[in-house]
Amino acid sequence: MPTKDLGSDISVRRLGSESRSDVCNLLFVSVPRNIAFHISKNLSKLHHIEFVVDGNHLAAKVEERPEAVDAVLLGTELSDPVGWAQRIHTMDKRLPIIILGTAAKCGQLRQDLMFSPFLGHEIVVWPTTDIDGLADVLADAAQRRQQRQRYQEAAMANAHVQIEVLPLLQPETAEYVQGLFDHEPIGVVATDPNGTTLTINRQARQILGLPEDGLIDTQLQKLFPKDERPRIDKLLALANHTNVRLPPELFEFPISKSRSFFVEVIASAFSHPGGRRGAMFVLQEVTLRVQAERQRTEAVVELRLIATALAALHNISAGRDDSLSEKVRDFLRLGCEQFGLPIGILSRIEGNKFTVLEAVSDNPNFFPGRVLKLNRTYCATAIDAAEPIAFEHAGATPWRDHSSYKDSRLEAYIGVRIVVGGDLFGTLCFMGNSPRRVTFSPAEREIVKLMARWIAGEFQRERAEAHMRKLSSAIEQAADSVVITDRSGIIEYVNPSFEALTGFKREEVTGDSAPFLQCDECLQSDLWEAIHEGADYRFLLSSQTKSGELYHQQMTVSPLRDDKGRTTHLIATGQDVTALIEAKEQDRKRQAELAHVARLSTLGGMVSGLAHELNQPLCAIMTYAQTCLRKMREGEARIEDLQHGLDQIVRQAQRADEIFVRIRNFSRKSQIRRQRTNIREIVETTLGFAQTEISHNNIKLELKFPKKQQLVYADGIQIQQVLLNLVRNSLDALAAVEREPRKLSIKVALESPKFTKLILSDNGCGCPPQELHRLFEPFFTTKEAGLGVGLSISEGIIEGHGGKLWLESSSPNGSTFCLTIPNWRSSRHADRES
Amino acid sequence: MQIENPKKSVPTVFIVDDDPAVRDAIRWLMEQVKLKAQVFSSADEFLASYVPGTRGCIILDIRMPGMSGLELQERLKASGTVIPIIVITGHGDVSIAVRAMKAGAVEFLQKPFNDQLLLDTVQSALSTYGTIWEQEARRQECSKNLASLTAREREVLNLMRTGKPNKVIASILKISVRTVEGHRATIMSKTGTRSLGELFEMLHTNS
Repeated sequence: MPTKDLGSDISVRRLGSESRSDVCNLLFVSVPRNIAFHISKNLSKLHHIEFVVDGNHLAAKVEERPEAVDAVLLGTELSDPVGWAQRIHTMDKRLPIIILGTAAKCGQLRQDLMFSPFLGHEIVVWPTTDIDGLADVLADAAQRRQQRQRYQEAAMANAHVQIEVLPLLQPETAEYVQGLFDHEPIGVVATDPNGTTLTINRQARQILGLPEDGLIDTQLQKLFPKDERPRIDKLLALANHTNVRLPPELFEFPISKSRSFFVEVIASAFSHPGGRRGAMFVLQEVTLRVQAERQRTEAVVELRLIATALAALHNISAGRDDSLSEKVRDFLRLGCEQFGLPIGILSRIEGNKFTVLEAVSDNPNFFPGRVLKLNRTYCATAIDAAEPIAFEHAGATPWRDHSSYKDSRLEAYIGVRIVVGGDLFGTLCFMGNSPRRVTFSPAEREIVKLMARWIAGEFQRERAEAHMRKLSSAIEQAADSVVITDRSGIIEYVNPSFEALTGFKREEVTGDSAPFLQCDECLQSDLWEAIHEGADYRFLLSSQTKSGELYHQQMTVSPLRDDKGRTTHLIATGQDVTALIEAKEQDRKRQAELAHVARLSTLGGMVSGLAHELNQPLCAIMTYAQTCLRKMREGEARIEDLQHGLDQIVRQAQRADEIFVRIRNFSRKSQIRRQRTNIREIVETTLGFAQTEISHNNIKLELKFPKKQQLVYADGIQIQQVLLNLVRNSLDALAAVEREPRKLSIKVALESPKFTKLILSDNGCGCPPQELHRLFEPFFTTKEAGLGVGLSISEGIIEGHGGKLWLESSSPNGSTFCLTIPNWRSSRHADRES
Repeated sequence: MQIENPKKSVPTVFIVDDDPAVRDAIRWLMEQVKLKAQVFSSADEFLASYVPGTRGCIILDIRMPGMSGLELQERLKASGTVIPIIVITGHGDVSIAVRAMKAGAVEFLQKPFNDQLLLDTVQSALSTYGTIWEQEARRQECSKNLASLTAREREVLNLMRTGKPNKVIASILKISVRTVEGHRATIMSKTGTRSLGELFEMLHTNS
């Protein structure tokens, strides 16, 4: 603003201010409607609110007529409000700007303001959480603005007068002073060499806390607090004797006992052309900056403290050779040193029992093993809170009523609970009998917490290790063999039982594929399927020891999963069941023998039928042969005749042979051999034994087979034995009734993909109801000739095949037996056929 | 009952057995010795085709599906059919053998049997039954002849049977001796007998 136009400018301003003296114009930029509404509610009618959509419109408005705006509110929806504030203040530094910020953003906004140039003094960050107070602040700011404008007009006139009455002053100085006025918020005080103030601007008055107008002390030093007066004098002296600009100095102005504000003073000399010298002091309030600085310094100090403590903690905790209790004692010593307290205690708390586990103490009351009542310690309070409990001077606070204070006069205390595995373990605390001068800082509280957490972690680790030792010794000493492999089955560990059983040493098998993976393929696919589903897989493993002996193990393979559910290892435990298997093998042999005996017995019961059957071809053979001989003897043998006879003889001999083979096979004592077998063949061969009896007894036989050839995985002879037994039972039951027709029916059907079902029914006399429950009992028989082992052996055979045999129904009108046999499945059984 | 003239008909061997090979073998053997043979696979089949009175013998298997050999035997007996039955069986079952013999079987043979034994049994059965059949035939012829005699001739025959000479007969009947002689000649011719002895034997058989 050019000086020469000053007068007219003032008059314009005066006119301007008069024209709108009773109305305050407020500009709201990007202020949310609800907040604007809330504010407007609390403003008088004299306040006129104008809404501006964005920063550009705002800038245009201010540029157009800065004096027509009394305050600006920058809303939360405006991006970079500080930037816009800067732009506004380049146009009019005195225009009050309030920046609305959410609670979370306020800190950052203030920080930004602190380091932004070109900003005037009238700028405030206001949190949205305190909208109620905003109306007043706005009103005050607007009013101040108007007052300031009026005052400025007056001050301008005044300054003008002063410049006029100080002809000695260089015009530059006047301009400089005017510039200073224009460039608020810098406070300026000019003095003569003696420190008598010549000018003091309004900003300087504000900064120094002086009334806006009225008399002021003419001595510069009187404007400063007592403690600072020597320094300002010194500064004045320096300014008087140098021509260079002096570095800024900071002065503290106490407001209350604990609060101060800070003013930065830059002193410089200026001289009048007439040789008179003076000093000029530029004042700037830097309380926020100083506070930030102080906070930063404090934070740095705290950080250093934490860093030192952490380093010490690390040194202690990483000390490998020390035992846990030594480490704890080191911790306690460190804590004592760190907090300046003489007593450090690690306690164990059980119920109301407070036991000193470790102690560093100058107090004879606290030693390891000392037991106290928990409620007579400060720690009783500490165990309830996650955060440490700390006080510096119990005697000066309600803590003096605590029983611990009464007992031991402990003034300073910091303590925190220790939680191990979710349960309260005890406390870590530091105490002293004399009050602590310094407040426990957040960093110190953190250090105590850190120590407690480390100790808790150590105890937990120790517990876990003890647990692991127990588990691993259990595995080491287990009677069952244990193999741990990675997830692909490569052995990582075997226990001594495994070594003892197999003869392989741990180092010999580590890295090999586990023995349980050397089983046949179909078993393996089942195993991996189970593992994949996270289930255990049980099976019988037969393998060889190092020296080649066969052993059998009942294996259970379980996946070991990590917390994300991924299988990391497989654990295979195996129980040595070699003896059991051998016994079973013996048992099986005996059973096979018994089955053989039973077969022979069955055959024995059928001798007459079989004899008859065999007799027919024999009779035919004999007759043919004799006739041939006769023909030859009588000399009338024609070749064709003889050929007919001999052909018949051969045919009948074959027929006899078939019968023999059938009987021989059936009665042979052979190894059980399960293989792919056509169930129809089994049924038909079986019926071959009973054919004569069936036809001679006029029994109607019904056979039903599936259209498709049905293959089962079975020992044909054994199944024949079962069937024959059932057929014989039926024939006996049929022989006992006089009814026409007597029927025997055998139906074969596919029960499921896994099993074939065979249903044998007759309309014989059935089994007496009172005998039903004993039907499958060995050596139980209702027949004079029977051994009574038929059904029990049959049941054993079918169960040995993995199937079932049961009596479906029995009544005086007939009975029905059912049995199931596993189907032959190439995928499962092809390998096992041998 | 009508029986063929034994001299005119060839006896048939009926073979009843459920086993085709056994049936065929026996038939072959029978044909070898020029016996007429006929085979049946069951008792029912035999009964369906057998004409009562046909001369021959049955070779019968006891154990067969359907009607057993013993049942067949009983049926034939009940219907008064006279035919020799040779029982063959694979079973040396005494009780069955006794039942079969009691029911009138001529022989009981166990399979496998000696061919000669079977043939002898068949021959003997046929020949034994041949005499029976011949006597029977004669008896039937005789009674037929007797039936053709007139009342006077029958009176003369009755007096002849008491051993009365022609004169006495003539005086009893108050006819001439010559007439008696004429009646005698007619009787002899009607009954086909050549001598008095023959005539009396016939009368004896027929009584």
